[in-house]
Amino acid sequence: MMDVESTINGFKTILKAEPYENLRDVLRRNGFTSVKKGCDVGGCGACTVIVDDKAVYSCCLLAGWADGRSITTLEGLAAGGSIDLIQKKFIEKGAAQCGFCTPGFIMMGKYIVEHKKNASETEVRKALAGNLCRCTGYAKIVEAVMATMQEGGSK
Amino acid sequence: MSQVAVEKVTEVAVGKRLPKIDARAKVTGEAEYGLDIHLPGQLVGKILRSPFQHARILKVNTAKARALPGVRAVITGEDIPVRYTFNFAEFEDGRTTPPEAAGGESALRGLMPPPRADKHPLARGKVRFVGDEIAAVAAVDEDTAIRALSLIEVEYDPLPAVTEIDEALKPKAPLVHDEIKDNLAAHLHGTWGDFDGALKESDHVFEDSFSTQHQHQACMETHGCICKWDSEGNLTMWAGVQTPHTIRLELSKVLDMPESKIRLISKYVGGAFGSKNELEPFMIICSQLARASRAPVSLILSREEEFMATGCRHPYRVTVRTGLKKTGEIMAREVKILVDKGAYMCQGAAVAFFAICYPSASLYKPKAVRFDAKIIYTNKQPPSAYRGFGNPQASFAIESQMDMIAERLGLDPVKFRLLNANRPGDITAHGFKMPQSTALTECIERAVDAIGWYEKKQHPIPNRGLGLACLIHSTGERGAYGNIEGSSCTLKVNDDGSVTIFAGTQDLGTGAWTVLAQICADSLGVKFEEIRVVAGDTDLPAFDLGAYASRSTFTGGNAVRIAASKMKEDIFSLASELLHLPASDLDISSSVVYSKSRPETKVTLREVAKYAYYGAGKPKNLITVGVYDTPSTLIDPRTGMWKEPGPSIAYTFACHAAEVEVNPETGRVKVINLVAAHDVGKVINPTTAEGQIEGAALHGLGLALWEDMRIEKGVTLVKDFRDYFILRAPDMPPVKVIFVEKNDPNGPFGAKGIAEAALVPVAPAIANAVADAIKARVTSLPLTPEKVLNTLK
Repeated sequence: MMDVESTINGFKTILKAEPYENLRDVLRRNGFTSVKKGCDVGGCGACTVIVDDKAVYSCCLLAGWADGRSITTLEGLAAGGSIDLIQKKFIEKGAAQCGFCTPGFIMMGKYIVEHKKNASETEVRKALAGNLCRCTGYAKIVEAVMATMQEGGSK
Repeated sequence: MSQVAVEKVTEVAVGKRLPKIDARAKVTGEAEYGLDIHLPGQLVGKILRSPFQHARILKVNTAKARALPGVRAVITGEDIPVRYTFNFAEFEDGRTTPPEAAGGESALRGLMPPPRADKHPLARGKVRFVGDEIAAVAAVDEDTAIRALSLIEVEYDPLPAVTEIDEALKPKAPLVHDEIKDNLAAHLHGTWGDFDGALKESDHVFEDSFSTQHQHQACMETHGCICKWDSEGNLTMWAGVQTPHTIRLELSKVLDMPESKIRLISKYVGGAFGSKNELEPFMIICSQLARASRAPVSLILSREEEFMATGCRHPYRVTVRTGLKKTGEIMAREVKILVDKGAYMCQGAAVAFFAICYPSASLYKPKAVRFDAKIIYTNKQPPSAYRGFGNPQASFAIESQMDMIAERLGLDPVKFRLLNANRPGDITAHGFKMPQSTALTECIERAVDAIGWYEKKQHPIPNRGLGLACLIHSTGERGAYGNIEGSSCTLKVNDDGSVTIFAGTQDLGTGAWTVLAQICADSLGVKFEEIRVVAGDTDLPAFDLGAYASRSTFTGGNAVRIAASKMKEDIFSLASELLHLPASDLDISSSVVYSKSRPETKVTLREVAKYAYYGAGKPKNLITVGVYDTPSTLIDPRTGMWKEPGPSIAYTFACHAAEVEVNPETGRVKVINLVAAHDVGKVINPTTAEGQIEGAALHGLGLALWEDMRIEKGVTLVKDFRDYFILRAPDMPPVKVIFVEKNDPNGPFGAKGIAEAALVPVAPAIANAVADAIKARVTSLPLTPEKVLNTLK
């Protein structure tokens, strides 16, 4: 086991990880269970987190890579009890059905609203192409991301 | 059979786009799924699976695996008694599958062999498909468990495999199950009405054949469970499933222990679509690993295992023969189905029977019907239930043929369907009575209108095409388990005046619990925000058969209405003591009880509750139970038909219309527009109802265009989402949802089911649109560019 020193959701944290372990499994083991496991190969997007302002598949990165970096998981969005605007929009638009893919979509959506502020619906759909949902047909997820953008982005 | 008190109530919550009651848990990541559960001392379970399609197991040596530090249990087929052999249809006391219900001197007698258990949780003697379970381990962590699997030595004697149905039916074919001499798992055949007479009266008879592929549910959460035994021999299982009570029933039979000693907890389910509604081998295996290791064991399937060894849709080969009058009136329909069953029966017979009873025998009400379905064992992974339950395969055949017939006879496909459309009060050849809410005609008219059918037909664009397809489906299905189509709940007004519904109903992400709360709010006159739903646990004071057959809103909702109606009486009785007014003068709205004659005289529900629990001076509480069973019927064993209304009380209808563009160079199909008009009765929550249709469209489009598990020579080639393409956000065309709200007299506030129905018409509507675009017909799904291009040439 090695020590991985990261900032997770604003807190300096030391994660214990084997050199071969992926970031998703280490985050999950440390209680960040919003980071879901839908596959192991970057095929579904359920494990999407934000690392240093980039949305990434945490299953495809070695945990050690996160050393010295800043990680935001879904748990970090509702810090302090009040939820983020994008979470509110997911509730309002009915964007979560079974909810399993939802954490990944919200993290990707947060990245989109912060980094592609004037994206069209087509561009939003393209940006969401790395996240799979089997319940919704995406319409309400796209609506939620667009609505968040129109109301001024995150928070 | 129970009657729902029909009373006039104001609709405040019903019909509104209210947020789902579990939405906050889902958007914050608080919702706990199977893989998120971690109990103290929990071990990791893993399964060793067969690399062969068909092989005798000569020896399984587990000594090295057992010796590995960190391994706590290793089990093989020899460690699990023979009586643990199971099958979905085995439990005659808990379940009546069609032939059992028919039984005796039935016209359907001999329809299929008696149900037989054909699946042992861990293979004994031989393996029958690539992925068949052989042995399992429990270890302190995943790495150790995987290493232990690699140390298990299995000696196989490979046998010739039979992986295609044509081969399986040949006289000297290898036998998947040695005792089944013709590989015929089941053979369903029969006739309803005077088939030969109806054929004689027909002016035209057409016969066409179609085929469909293996499609996987591909839930975002893979299958899995956690098992824990206590020292008194009670088993607790956490598993995201559709049917906690009936899976427990099956598990209790297999483990030979009382149902009440098993507690199944299923709070959040990461997608199901039919794949999580029956007992699975991994559940039994996990329970045995937990017993052997005397520790909680978590057994979660990998994505690769999910694709190679769970569920999926049965591939069908369907031949439809239809007899019609010159006018286009449908007289007779014969359907022959060949089902690739894979290695084990699962729900194969029930799925085929549904395909026969619904689209084949009911859509456009042929006067007589003949059917013949052969369910054939092969050395492949076994398909089972998948949203639509046989209806998508058969509807693809029937609705494709409708357009082929229209073209041959020069009929307008819209008018041809309208002429034959089911209408309220119609009775089918096998005795299904169409409800008063039947609105197929309106669905066709509105779908055609919304897609701009006739304008576009007048101004055709090259390479573009229009197609439509209709649907009949059930709301609930009597006969799936015993003689019941019911649900129950317990309602409690808490001492602060808020309300808790303890529901048997499962919510797979559909919004069923939200819908129950909305129904409760308006039935009881309380605020929606003050209602909580506690469900997904067999230890709760509630029962339900499960979330399948599009039944939850209807049966669960009616149970809530009944409980609420009783609750109102109790509330008014207590409030009348507080207000010194007769109970008959009282009503309740927004959690306030008031006098109808003098509305300013009122008392809050909170005050009534406080009085009930602390001040009435006599034992009193505010707890009621609602039990509902639909007035549906079982098949009549003497006639082989149903007495009215048949297995469902509220059949649902739909018409989908699609516009596509086909690239003549590549054969690629682009869906421009999809319109889905559904007769759903009263819509309780438009947002969740739309979500069902939009989500079903994704599965339907996948079935139509892309999805294929590519099982070649018995080997499932897809392993993850890089091989198995489900539609992504940019791939989805706009889906226009139209609700034709014709209230059903038996539904809660007039509602009917929706979940499965919306998937079914998509593929045939797309296929018909493609045929219109390329002026040629592809008769097998999916409509890949290759097939389209070959048909064009």
